[in-house]
Amino acid sequence: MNELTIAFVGAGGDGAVAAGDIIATACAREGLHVVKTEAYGPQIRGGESSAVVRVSSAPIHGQADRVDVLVVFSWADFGRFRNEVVAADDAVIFCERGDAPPPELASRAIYEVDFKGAAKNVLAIALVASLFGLPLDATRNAVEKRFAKKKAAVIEANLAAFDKGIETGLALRPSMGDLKQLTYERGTPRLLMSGNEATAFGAIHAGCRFFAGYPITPSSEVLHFLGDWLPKLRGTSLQTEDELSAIGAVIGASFAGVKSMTATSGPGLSLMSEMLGLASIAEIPAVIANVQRGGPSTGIPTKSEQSDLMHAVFGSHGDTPRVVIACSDVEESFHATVDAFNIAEEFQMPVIVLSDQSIAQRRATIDASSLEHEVKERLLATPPDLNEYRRYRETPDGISPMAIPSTPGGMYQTNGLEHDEQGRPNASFVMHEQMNAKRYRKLETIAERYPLYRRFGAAKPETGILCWGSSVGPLREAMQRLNNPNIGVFAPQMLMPLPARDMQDFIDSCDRIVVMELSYSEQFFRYLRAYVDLPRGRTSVYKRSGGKALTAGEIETYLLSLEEVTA
Amino acid sequence: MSCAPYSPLDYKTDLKPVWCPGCGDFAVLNSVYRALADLHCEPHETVIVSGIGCSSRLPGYVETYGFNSLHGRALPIATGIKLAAPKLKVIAVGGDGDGIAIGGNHFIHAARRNVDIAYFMMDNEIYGLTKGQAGPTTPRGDKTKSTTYGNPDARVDPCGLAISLGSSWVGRAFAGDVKGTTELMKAAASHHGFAFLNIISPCVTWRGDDQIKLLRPRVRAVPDDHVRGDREAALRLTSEPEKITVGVLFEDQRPTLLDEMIEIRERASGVNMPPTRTELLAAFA
Repeated sequence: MNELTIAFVGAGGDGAVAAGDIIATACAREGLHVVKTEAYGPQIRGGESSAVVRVSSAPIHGQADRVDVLVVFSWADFGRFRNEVVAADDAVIFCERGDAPPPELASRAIYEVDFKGAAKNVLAIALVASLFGLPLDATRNAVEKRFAKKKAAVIEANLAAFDKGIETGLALRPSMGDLKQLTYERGTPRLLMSGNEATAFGAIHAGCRFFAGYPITPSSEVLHFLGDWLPKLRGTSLQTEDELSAIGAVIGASFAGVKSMTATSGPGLSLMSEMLGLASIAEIPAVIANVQRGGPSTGIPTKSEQSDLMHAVFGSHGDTPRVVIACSDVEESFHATVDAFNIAEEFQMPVIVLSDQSIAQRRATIDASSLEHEVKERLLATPPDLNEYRRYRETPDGISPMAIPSTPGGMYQTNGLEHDEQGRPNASFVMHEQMNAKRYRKLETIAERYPLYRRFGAAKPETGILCWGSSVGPLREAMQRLNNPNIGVFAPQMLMPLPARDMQDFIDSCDRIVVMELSYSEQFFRYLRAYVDLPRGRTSVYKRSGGKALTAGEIETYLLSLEEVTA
Repeated sequence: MSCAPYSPLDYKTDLKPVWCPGCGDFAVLNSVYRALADLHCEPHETVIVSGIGCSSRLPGYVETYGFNSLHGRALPIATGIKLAAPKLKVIAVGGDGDGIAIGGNHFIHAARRNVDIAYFMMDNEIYGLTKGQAGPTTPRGDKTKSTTYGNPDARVDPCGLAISLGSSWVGRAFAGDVKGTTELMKAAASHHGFAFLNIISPCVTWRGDDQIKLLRPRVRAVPDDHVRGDREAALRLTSEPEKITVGVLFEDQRPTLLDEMIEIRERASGVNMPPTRTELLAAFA
């Protein structure tokens, strides 16, 4: 076995999530690949919680569909996660002694354990680690590190629970038959990071020194992280009264010359829409990280959906050029954010990074060496530009040198009103046409310089799949399982401007096209129809509502059903 | 002041104001020119930020950096500018509808945060640019384009509101007194913290040609014995019926948002060098 998926489920206080963290940390330090996800009940504190850790010796692209090892501290709490935490047919299950499992699982391999006691999660970690070939020393070290700041008695109690876990495993082992064993070679330690943390780190890497945001699930970790780190870097993090103020402060700080960003989710993006138009017409760099969740309205705040796409690419009053970059995993969250800053600064316009809950709140291993990315800067006005300075001067690529306040001789008024080259209000339709053309011209240059997309699978596919964002990971896994030489994938990372020419070439080379997404109203499919020609009668859409990210299993089943149709 | 580096005319741009003849905002603009000249403000180190409305056109008429933004949003933008570039002199301007109706939430929070900016609110008791609808300072009962049968809403006293919100400097000016307005602008712009100046700037088109004549007799100065740090006394002064009390109503000193941010930076890393990339990534190891 080169991979293993373990789930812990319990009530608040059982330490299910902490158990997942400890295993994930231990495995990351051993150089394994890890993806860790969490889920909670609706209670603010206490209530049921679950953690799923997938560990592998080879790269993985998302959470597994089914778990191999399931630790249930209480079956009553398990009920809530029945549809999310699915035990494989051959799963090994541990539960509290005397706690009766639900009927559908009663016939499985269930082992009763005396978890009762303060450190039941640590007992469970040691039990699982010792029985299934996880790195035991690294796990013990991770337990010690986790409790390092506690009193000696607490550390001792946890290490005693750890030893009891190993003993429990030894006692159970003879009755268990063959057990899956994780096989791996120890490698260079990896970092363990969430998508939101990778976004925040990307911002810091890009030179962001001003953040303003309003708390909203599932993007708040960006606010938390930058609120912690930016002051240390002599930067500023401001929690504002609402999203209008957050994007307003970002635009103000950026106008004053500092690289700036905000982070939000769908409802917040709605509130920011007017300001998006302002940043676009006033040509002010601004980065907005939008972490999608189930919508509309409050929707399903803690779960993924790919349904802010239309809002991100088109949402505005007026003709509003903006750039939208998608990320499909934790590592891409870093790169997409740096690209977003580079483009925002170079082209003086708003850029949206489109992520979603399943990427933003998952923790995954990442190589420190992969967190490198070229950083670009804004075109500032030089003395020759400042001679009779025109802030919005016509240029071939639409980029005009920007004077930052405190630059002598650069005074101008920036404007949400249509304006002339000097920035003075101008209501002439001729000027409006000219300035729209100037602003939209920037998108043409961006399309040429940043044709960002991923291609994988068959080089010359019969079936071509178009997919984006968090749906790409499970698709990759499904493709690996199917190993079908006739399927290929084109997944744009740059959504606006879309790499339409390369995408069209891909589409034209395929016999059949499948569009895959997590949106009931098929937003991606409908969006693509605006920019590429999809073959009539030979295009199908696999989609459903969010609330749960697409799984490799369902994609595999769908692709197999397509094959049957063909055969 | 013969040694002054700039004259009021140096701050004038070649853009012609869109305002109606006789509008109070012309007088306010003149006061802005004079106040900037008297304070020796360097044009390139000054930013005037506005929202949308008649009065929000003002930044275009002043030779400094300017930002004519969105309806109601001058204060968040001004906050961002001040935090990002602390040495800039930042002045927000706008109308009563812009600042109290659509932008009311930002008014609350800019005041409580004590953002180090001056905020000049030109109060004409009406929505002028959209041609005559009732605003938050329109008296109850007034008939306007949008209140055919009389305005059903109680009016807000912007100064009373600012004092209640914890604004660290609150004053009122009357546009009909350019010299007095200039002096109050200078005091507001020199205050360390959020300084709110409500400027009664009558609208000749939608409130009547004789507004300025009707209002002038109601104007009176803050009494000499008023204690500026006395919040309750300030509230009493601003809420006297039929009186328009001009002058500094309230003033105190407390740390500004910028002061807090600087202190937070010191608390975060002290006098240490900023963390390196490796130190940042250690959190994820």
